Amino acid sequence: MTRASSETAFASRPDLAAAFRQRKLAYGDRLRQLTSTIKTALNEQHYDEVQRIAHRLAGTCGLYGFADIGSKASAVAEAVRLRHHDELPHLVDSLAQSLREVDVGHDVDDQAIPDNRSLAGTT
Amino acid sequence: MSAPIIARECVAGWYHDFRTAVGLVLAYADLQATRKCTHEQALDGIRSSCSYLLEMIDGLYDTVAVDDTDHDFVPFDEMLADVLDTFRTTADLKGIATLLTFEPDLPRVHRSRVVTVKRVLANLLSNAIRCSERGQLSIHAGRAIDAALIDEPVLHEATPSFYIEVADQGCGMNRQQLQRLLELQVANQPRRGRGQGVRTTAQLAESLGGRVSISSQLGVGTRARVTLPATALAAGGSVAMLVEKRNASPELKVVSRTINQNRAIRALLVDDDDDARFCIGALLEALGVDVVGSATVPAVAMVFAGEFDVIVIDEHIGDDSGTALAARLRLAGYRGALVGLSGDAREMNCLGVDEAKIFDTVIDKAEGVRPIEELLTQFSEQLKSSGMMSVAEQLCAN
Repeated sequence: MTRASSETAFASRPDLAAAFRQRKLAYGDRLRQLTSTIKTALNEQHYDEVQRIAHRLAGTCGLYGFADIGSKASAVAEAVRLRHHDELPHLVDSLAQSLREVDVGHDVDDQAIPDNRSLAGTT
Repeated sequence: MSAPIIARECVAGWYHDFRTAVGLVLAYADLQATRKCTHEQALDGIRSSCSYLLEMIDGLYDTVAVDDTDHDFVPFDEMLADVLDTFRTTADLKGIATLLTFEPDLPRVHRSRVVTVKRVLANLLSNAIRCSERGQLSIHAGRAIDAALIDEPVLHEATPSFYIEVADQGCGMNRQQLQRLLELQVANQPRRGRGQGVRTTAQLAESLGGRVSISSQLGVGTRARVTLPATALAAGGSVAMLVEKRNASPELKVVSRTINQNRAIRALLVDDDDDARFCIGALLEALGVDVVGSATVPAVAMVFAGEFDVIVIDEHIGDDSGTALAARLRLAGYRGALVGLSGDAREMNCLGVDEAKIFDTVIDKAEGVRPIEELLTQFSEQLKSSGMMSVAEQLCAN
């Protein structure tokens, strides 16, 4: 399903598919770098910054196929919004772990744009 | 470039263009003397050439005494027709048909910019006629959207611009000839009679913040396009003044227009997250949509929002609210489709407004790109069946 989806999106534009693959690799690097950023923000109780990072991840990770990170980031953003600060250490730890271990995959060529709904249905 | 070189280039440019205009007058006189045209044709040609010459003389004065507070604007189409009139008879006599077309609602051009734009067009026309012995000479003006996706990171900032394209069916050039011509555009030393027109045209376009691109095929013809940013057409780069003049109203209003079903859908994509903007922009482009990306909604994009069939806008843009911006677009009269991008569906309507009343559709980015792809595919299909009425207007009507 993943492959079929990417083929649908960029079937006629291999240039865009290549650009997307490059972008995804760079995005993976940026995600790993966010590990310490979000933990530092939490340790310093900069909740606005935690929410800003988490909210952005919640939206964008889904576009690049990192649905798991996206849902964890969404939970962090929601906890900040509801001022459930006591839940944050656990949630941020879990998110940071996923960020640290993000894997754009050696087969990134095959997963240009995943269909998250299909992935959700298989897990 | 040093001051002496700038001065030399400037003088060389004026020299070339004055010479072109005077050459036209002499050509019309010669044509009459040798009975190759009628008396009326020669008089018309001489009169329009002299008018153009006088305008250039005034324009030369304006380069040192420009009055940016002057609110005198010239309609774009009239300006183009004026220049074409100057060259029409010479084209007619060579058996070259001329065709001038332009999109509706092109901007008015501030008086202080008219001579510069006319000189650019005159150079393009002069070259096209000189290189043609038959066929058609087409001049078309329209809106251009700069959207080079691959280069970087995201699509270019929103820069509404306009283009004038001159296409001939003349001798054309092979690759080597075209390469030499392009090199002349940036050559340092002006050389009398060799490429001065090309260089002057490029410099004039650059002076307005624009550029000239040329494509050609040997034996088929040449196509030259000058693209100018909208800001270049108003005095002092004041788009606000330009728009105020267009609308005869002190308020900035979005000018909406219908779209031509034969062209691609135009989308303005606003998202301050570079990665999200890149991904969605790439997807839109893959669907054949002309995309202009922007991290914010600058004033100029607000003003020219009506040029876009679809505006895709993130609900959160920095500290600002994309939803509020979308509402302002609606209040300003934007009639196109508005698509909201949500980073988290739980935050929808958090401003206390019903987003469904502002956006035609809200897409949750966390869902992935498939919903966006589906939506845009639907837009494309509706566009094909909607004739000259925009999809967005249909949506609003419904």
